[in-house]
Formats: sequence, structure tokens, C-alpha cells
Amino acid sequence: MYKSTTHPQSLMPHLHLQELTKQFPGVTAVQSLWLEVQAGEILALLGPSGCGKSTTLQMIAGVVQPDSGTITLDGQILNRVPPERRDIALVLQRGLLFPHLTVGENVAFGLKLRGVSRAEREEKAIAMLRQVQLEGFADRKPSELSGGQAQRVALARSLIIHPKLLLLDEPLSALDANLREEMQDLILRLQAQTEVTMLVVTHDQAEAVVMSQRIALMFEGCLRQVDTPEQIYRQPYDETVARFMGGVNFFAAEAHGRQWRANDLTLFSEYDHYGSVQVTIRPEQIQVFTEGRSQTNTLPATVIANRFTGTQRRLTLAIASELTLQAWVTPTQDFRVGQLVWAYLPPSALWYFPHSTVPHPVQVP
Amino acid sequence: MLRKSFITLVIVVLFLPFLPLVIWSFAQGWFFPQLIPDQWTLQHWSQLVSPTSRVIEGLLQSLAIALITTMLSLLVGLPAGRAIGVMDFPGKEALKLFLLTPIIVSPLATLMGIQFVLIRLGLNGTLLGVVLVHLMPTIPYMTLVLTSVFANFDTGYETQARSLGASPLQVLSQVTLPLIAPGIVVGALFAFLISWNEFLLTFFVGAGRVFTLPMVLFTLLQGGNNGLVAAVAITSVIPGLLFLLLASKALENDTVLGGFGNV
Amino acid sequence: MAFVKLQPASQHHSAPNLTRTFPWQAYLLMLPAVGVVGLVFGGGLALALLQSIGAIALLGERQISLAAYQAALTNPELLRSLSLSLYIAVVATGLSTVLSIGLALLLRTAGRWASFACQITLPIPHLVGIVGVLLLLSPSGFVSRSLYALGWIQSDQDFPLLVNDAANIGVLLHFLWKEVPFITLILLAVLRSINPAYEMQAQILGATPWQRFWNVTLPMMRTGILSSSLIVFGYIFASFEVPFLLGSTRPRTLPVLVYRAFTDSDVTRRAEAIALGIILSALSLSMIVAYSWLVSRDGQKRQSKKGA
Repeated sequence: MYKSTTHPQSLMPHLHLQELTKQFPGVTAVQSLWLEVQAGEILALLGPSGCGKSTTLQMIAGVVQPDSGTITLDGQILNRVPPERRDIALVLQRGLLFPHLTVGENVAFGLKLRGVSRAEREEKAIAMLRQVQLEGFADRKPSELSGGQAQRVALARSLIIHPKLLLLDEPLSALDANLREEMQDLILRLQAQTEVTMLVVTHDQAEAVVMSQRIALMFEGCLRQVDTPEQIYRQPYDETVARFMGGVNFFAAEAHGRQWRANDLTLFSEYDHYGSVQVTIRPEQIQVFTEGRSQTNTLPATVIANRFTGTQRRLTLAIASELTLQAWVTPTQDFRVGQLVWAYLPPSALWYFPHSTVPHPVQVP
Repeated sequence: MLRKSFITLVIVVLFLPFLPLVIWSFAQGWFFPQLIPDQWTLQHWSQLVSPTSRVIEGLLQSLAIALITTMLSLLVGLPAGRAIGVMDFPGKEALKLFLLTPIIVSPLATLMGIQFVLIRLGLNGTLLGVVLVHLMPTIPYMTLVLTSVFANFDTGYETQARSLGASPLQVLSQVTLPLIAPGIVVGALFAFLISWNEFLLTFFVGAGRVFTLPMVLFTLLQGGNNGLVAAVAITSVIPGLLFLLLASKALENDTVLGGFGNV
Repeated sequence: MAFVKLQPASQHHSAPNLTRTFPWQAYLLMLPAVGVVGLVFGGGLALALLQSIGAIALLGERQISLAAYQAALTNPELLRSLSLSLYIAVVATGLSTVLSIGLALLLRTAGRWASFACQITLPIPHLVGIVGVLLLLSPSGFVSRSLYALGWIQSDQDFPLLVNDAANIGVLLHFLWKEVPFITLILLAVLRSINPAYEMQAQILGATPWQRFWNVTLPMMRTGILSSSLIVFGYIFASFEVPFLLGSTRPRTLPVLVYRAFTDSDVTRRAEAIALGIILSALSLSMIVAYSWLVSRDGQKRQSKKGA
């Protein structure tokens, strides 16, 4: 069973994937996937390229047929339902606006298919464009739009038909960095307004953390951890998860209850365990002081590298006896290479992996 | 499967005219309402290869004209295709359209007009004169194909080769030509087929002295020997089919055919 | 004339585009092709024009007049020839195009051999096709004999006249047989260049297969369809040997009319023939112009259409 510490309240999930499996020649893309998404929730399907998240999305949308397993939406089993009748909207990475239609015609496309009259279509399209802050763009051609604008039109086009589920495939990856935040805000705002259930597929952990209420981490076709972003940061399931989320500090230790011994250091953790463990601590959690303190978990260290990233100062610290950790601190404080400092490792931040680093496939609960 | 049966139907219809053609070429006296000839014979085929029927002569002349025309239109079409496909210059669209006029505007008036000059130049009734007029319909098609190929050709490859020390000639022979080879093959295919199948132009300018296979066929059609006509018809088809087979791989390349969709 | 999938040269190539500053390089490259076409085609046309007004003459004396045009325009057959030519070209092109769209869609997902088999008529000379049609569809042709064997007809007179008939059915069938594979080949290439994600997107937005075809696939094929049908129309309109051998004896299509006038034993009709030829060329030319005007106007009209 994948690690999950939060279980949503309602009994009936809005979207329910059960034992979804898909194989392509030579590779198993998705293996016995089990996932529940609640109505009105935003869930991010996060994982490296090739982990099977796009395939999962395509199966939910109906353009790819699973080999086995069921997809249930709002109580209805979707497996045999063709894509055009699933009431699911999909926004692709590059918007993919129909080049032969104007922006307004693109937005109203779904309504036209459903037989809505021209006057009503136009009215609704204009209203939708206003919602995505593209008022007045109705007569433009897609070729005249920037990437961000095209993405917004694609969103409008999908939301106008009031789908039960909105699927977003890497919605921000094609955008410039400065546009991403705007788009994130827009997507979150639209979701709040429409309360549509949203599934975002992405390979960017920073994107997933900002946009979703829960993250489903996927590696090699299997779900590894499904949790809130905070939980995944604080208590990653294993080293692969921790590394994917940007963790950099890993070391072996012997745990005796709350007292953990690494090399010849003794550290105190909030977590209770006995036996060999792999320990991890987030670099942002380590605090660095220039003067010694008599706190537990405060260790002398030498600065061996110092890197400024604009928003952080990334220090590589050599803790006494063969332990190197990274500490990311606010840039206001400066340090010299070779400087002697004191590193404080908060007990609540010291996490361990109770499992071996060989990943377990997800088991059915 | 509905789709498969439709396609099969289409293929059957397309191949249908060949059936009587083949049968006739081996038939001796095949009268209505017989579905199969009474007697079979090889006399049409033996007649075909005999010099009196002038078929072999026609075949060789057709071949010579088609090959020369193809070569020349390639020579002329390659630079033009490059210019239109790769470069941007004032009057480009107009010139492109100009090059296409011979296949869209009827060549009859032109033929009658050009005969005047050809007679004066002594080219009327010569192989050279026929080749010259054959260039009219072949250059447009060649240009269309090559333009499309060049438009999808990344000149970065040439720049790369130059920076690695290749001379312009080496760039041409080692980089450019190999990369646009499918386009050259398809363009040559079209040019060859057009010249090979061309009747009217040869008819006008050949003045009876240049004898190509289509001319042979036309003359025979005025007579009544269905068997011989069928045999000659089949012979006319073979080189074209061979070329098509050889070029079929290149025809699958969509960049090559895109030009026809962009007139 | 808009480009569908070819990108403007300046955007596509990684190397800097130098010819903006040196257009003469491009003109030089174009020179051989433009020169040959200009000289042979344009020159021929010009010479024909001169001959038609009597400025130069092969036989007889030179005398500038419009007598040839007068004779041509008062030719009693002219109008009927013109309408016949138009009828054949429009019907043959229209039918071929529609059938090709269907065939291209069918072949889109078919194997290589199926597509190859459907290209079979491409290398076949029109004359060979004519022979085939004659042997197949004439009253004593193969189809007629098959129907007789089936008992559907009693003699070769009962078989409907399909060749050299007033409705020119044999001509139309021949052109269908030749041109459908040609247009299909081009449309297949156009279809393959369409990003399948568009149709998928339409499907997810709720489009049935027909809706996908009508609202997405067909509009994206538009330029390819117009372009290939233009080439085919021009060819059919100007075709000589097919109507000559398979078509009705009266009326004749325009090219056949011109040929008859030119080869008439009455040599004085030659100038009239050339005038007719010029008229024919002018008609073809005006049709391309009309087509391109229509296409560009249609493009502009779409630009100004309001949303949805």
C-alpha cells in the first residue's frame, strides 16, 4: 500500500482508478494503478518522464484503452464509453487550438458540437474569454497568440462545456518562467470558481507542490506515494521520492528508539525506530549558526562550498567525521569557505526510511 | 471489414481495364459475345518486336526523349526549387505561379505558336525540338516537388559542413544532394512519366518524323487491330511501372508531395 | 495562396537567411527554369498571338487584322464546345475530388500495399487508359460481354453507349480512373501532415467521428484539396486525346475543336485555329486567376468572421 497519511472524508470518490494496467511492446507503462480523487479536488500526478503518467491520463480521457482495470467517474464505469461522451476535458501541453478557427470559434467548439445556437455560443464564448482575461480576443487567429494566451484559450475551451473532470497535461512546462505563476494563479482561481475536479500531470515537482492539494507520485508505472505536498516533503516514502522532490541529504545510521547513531555522532529524532536506517533531512531545515549552542543536534561543521542562487544561499557543510550535508539558508547571511560554523538539525526534520531502497509495487488495499 | 472491402473494390475497379488489355494481346479473333477468345496467339507480340511495326523504334525514341527531358528538367528545376523553397525574394509568389502556368493553361495555342519558330530554326521534327517542348510540362512538376523538399530542408546542415571544411562542391555532393534524394527521385519520376506519356506535344512538333510510343499507339487506334493495340499499350506501361516501383519508397515521403497541396 | 504546413523559409532554417539582402542570387537560380518556361511557353504564346492577328504568318501574306478572331468567335460550334469542356472538367474534377477525399481517408490507416495498389493508374499513359476504356466499355467490350453472359442484355446493341456518347460518360470515367489516384496520393500526404492531436482534442471535446471529419480534418485539408483540384481541372479542360478518342463526335470539346481547325485541309482556317487556341488559353488563365482570387478572398472572409 502506498504511503498516505491523509484520507479525504467522503466515501465515494469522484474519480476512481482501479488496478489500471497498460502494456506496450517491451514495456509496462502502467501497473495495477489504484487512485481515488475526490470531487472538487486538485490532484497532481507527478513523476519523471516515462513513468506512465501521460499514459494514465490518456486512459482516463479514453484515447488509450487499458489492458485491465476500471475507470469510474461519478459512479459510471467509463471503460466502454468513447472519449467524446466521457464528459472529461483535456488540455494538452501546447494548447492545440484549431488553426482554421478564430479564438472565439475555438472556445465555442464544444458548444457547437452539442448543437447550441450561434448567438448563445458567441455569448458564452465571450464570457469565458473574459474569465481567462482575454476579453476582445474572440476574432483573433490562434497564430497571433503567444504561448500563454493560447494556453488560456485552451482552458476556456475546456471549461465552457462544464466537464466533470479536467485533465491538464504539463500545463506550465511550455511557458516562460515569469508566466508560470500567472497561469498557476489563473488555473487555481478557475478551479475554485467552477469547483471542477482537476488532475494535473507534471514532471516538475515545484509545479505540483504549488498547484495541487494532493500529489500522487509515480515511478515506473506504479504509484509510490499519495499525500499532501507537505507530507511528501516531510516524510518521503523512500530515497527515490526524496531525491525526486529535491532532497540531497542522505546518510546511514543505527536507530535506537529516538536516539540515532551515525558514524560517531548521536542525533535525536522525533521518530521512534530500531535498526539500521537511511536518514534524510531537508536542506532548508538545517539551521546554521556562527556561534556554538548547547542544543541537541547541534554539530560543528566547516563550510566547504557556498553558492548563491538568488533566493537562497546553498552551503555544503563538512560535519565532523565524514558526513557532508547541504544547508540552504537565507542569503542575508554570508559565509566564507573554510569557516567554522554550527549546524542545527531539528529533531522533527530528521526522517528515515523504514523500508529498503528497493521500491515496492503498490499493493491493493 | 467494411473499410477493407471498399478498398478492395476500388483496387479491382482500378485494375479492371488491364484485364481485356492483356487478353486481347494474346487473342486471335475475339468476337462478341465471347468472354474468352477462341484462339490464342503470340502473333501480336511477334509483330510488335518486328521492325516493320516500328514499335521498338518508338520505344527507344520515347526512352531517349524521356531520359533527356528528365535530366534537363532536373538541372533546371534544382536551382529553381532551391530558390523558392529556401529563399525569400520580391516577386517569389508571382514567379512560382508563372512556372506553374504550363500545366494549368492549355498548351495548344503555345504549340501552334512555337511550331512557327521551330520550323524556322529547323528544329521541327527533330528529337531536340521534341525535348524542348517536353520541358514545358515537366519543369512545373519538377519545381513543385523540389520546392517542397527544399522548404523542409534545413540549410544548417550545409553551414555545418562548411564550418567543418567542406568546399561548396563537396557540400553539394556529400550533404545537400543525399538529403534531398527522395525529392530528386520523385521529381524525376514525374518528369519521366510526363514525357513518356506525352502525346499532343510530340504529335505537333514531331511532324511525323519523331516517332514515340504514344504516337504508335495513336496511329494503331485508328486502325482496327485490337490485339496489336493491346500489346503496344502494355509495352508502353512497363517502364513507367518499373520506375514507379523503384520510386515507391521515395513517394512515401510526405515532404516531397506537400508541394502539390500548396499551389 | 496560403501555406498549410510549409513554414516560411526565414523561420525554418537554422542558418541566417542572407538572400534578403542579395535577391539577385535567387533570381540567378531561377533564371534557367523561368527562362525555359518563358521562352518556350511564353514565347510560343506570344508567337501564337502574333499569328492570330496576322502580324506574322507561316504561309500567305502578312496582314494585321482581327479576321481570325472574328471567324473564331462566330464559329457556330464555339459555345457548345466551351460548355462541353466546362461540363466535363467540372464534373470530372468535382467527382474525382470527392471520391479522393473518401479514398484518402480510407487509406489513411491502410497498409503500404493497399496504398501502392491505389496508385497504379499514375504511371499509365492516357492513351493506354483510353485503349483500356475502349476495350472495356465499348458496346462489344468486356463489360458488355460479361453482362451478356449474365443474361442481362441480349445483344451488343443493348449495352448503353458509354464511349463516343453525347453525355461523354466514357470520358468522365476515364478521367476518374486516372485522376482519383493522383489526388488521393496528394491528399494522403496532406492528411499525414495533420497533427493527430487535433482530432483527439476534438474527440475529447465531444466530437463524433463525422463531426471530427467535418469540423477539423476537412478544413485542415482545404488548401491541399483546392490545390490538387486546380491542377486536375486545368489538365482536364485542356485535354485533347481523351475527348478526341472517347468523346462525342458532336459537340467537341474546345481543344478538339482547335485541333480540327488547325488540321483542316482548308489552310486559311489555320489563323482561326490559332485564335481559338488563344481564346482557350485565355479562358484557362482567367480560371486560375478566378480561383486564386476566390481562395484569397475566402481566407480574408474567415479572418473577419465573428467568434463561433
